[in-house]
Amino acid sequence: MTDRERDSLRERVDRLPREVPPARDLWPDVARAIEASRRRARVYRAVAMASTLAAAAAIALFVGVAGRRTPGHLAVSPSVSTPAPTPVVAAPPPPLPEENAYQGAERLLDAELDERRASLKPAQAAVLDDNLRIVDRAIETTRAEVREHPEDPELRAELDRVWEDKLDLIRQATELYSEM
Amino acid sequence: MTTWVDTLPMTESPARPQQAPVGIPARVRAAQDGDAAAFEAIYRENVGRVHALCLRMTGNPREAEAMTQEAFVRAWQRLGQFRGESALSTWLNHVAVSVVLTSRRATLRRLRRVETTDDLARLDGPDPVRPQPDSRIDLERAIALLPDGARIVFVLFEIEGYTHAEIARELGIAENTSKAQLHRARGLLREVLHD
Repeated sequence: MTDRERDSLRERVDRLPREVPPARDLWPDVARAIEASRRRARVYRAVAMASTLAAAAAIALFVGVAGRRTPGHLAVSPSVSTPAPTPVVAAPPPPLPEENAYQGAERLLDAELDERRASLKPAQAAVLDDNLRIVDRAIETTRAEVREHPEDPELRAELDRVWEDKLDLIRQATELYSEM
Repeated sequence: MTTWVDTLPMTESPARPQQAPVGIPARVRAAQDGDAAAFEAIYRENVGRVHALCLRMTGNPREAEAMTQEAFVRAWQRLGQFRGESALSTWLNHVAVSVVLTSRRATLRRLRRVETTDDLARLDGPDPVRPQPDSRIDLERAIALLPDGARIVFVLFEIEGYTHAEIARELGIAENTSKAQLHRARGLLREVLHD
């Protein structure tokens, strides 16, 4: 390509319009996608907080066990790990059919945990209960979003994840106290 | 997480003069705080430019619409990262380029799984069908007819003002490959454009 040809091409490129509007208004679709993204962000925040606190609670419970086994160790104070409970203003939405299996597993684990509750210090029981409440709120938040937007597979996957977090927390607490 | 959009240096070019720091306009701040109406105004103001870029990079109106949509959703999600170091329109263009290239990489990966070829140039396909020598064709249409790789390099270099180094980094190719694609694009355009 000669310099003249290149200059000519350059001139034509410079004359191209800076803006070419789309044939239709894309905003409604963009707005819908943004709303879905916001929804997921809300759920992720609730789930992330629940997961973090559940993990912290498991550690706190473990340290509590170690503290009991080795006198002199500092037992975890519930005031460190537990945020103030949020008042419930509305009845939680009923569980979805696909939560049946999780609820069945939860009942079995709860029964096992209840048998061991007597060996928990009141402070440790408080840590566990407060954190279970936080995970429950995350389940309710996610469930409400799934009910409103059943077509969103990411929300359904998130509901599975937060249920698994809850079952893990109960399982860990049960296992720790069955060792005593 | 820092993405290439945040780290890409502004380059001087005839098409995209370097911007002085311009701060964050009130409307952008409002959108950063979650004001959807403010973001809609940003969309309305910039959609023509973003769509033009997507259309030229993809050469396909349908794909361009999808990419434009995705670019604005991505921009909404990352708006908090916009620090006002460049004009918002420049930042939006970078987001759109990132969206188109990410989509193209995904397509190439899909094709690679199906075709098993180590010569990605083949995925560009043969040179497009050219118009008859006596036909007139506008530049926009000629760009759309370029093979994928040549078209993207041409648009980024000639229209968006990227350097070969930037193009090479974004496309994961050697700088010389970028130069060769540009040469190829110019050659094909010369053949189909009649002054």
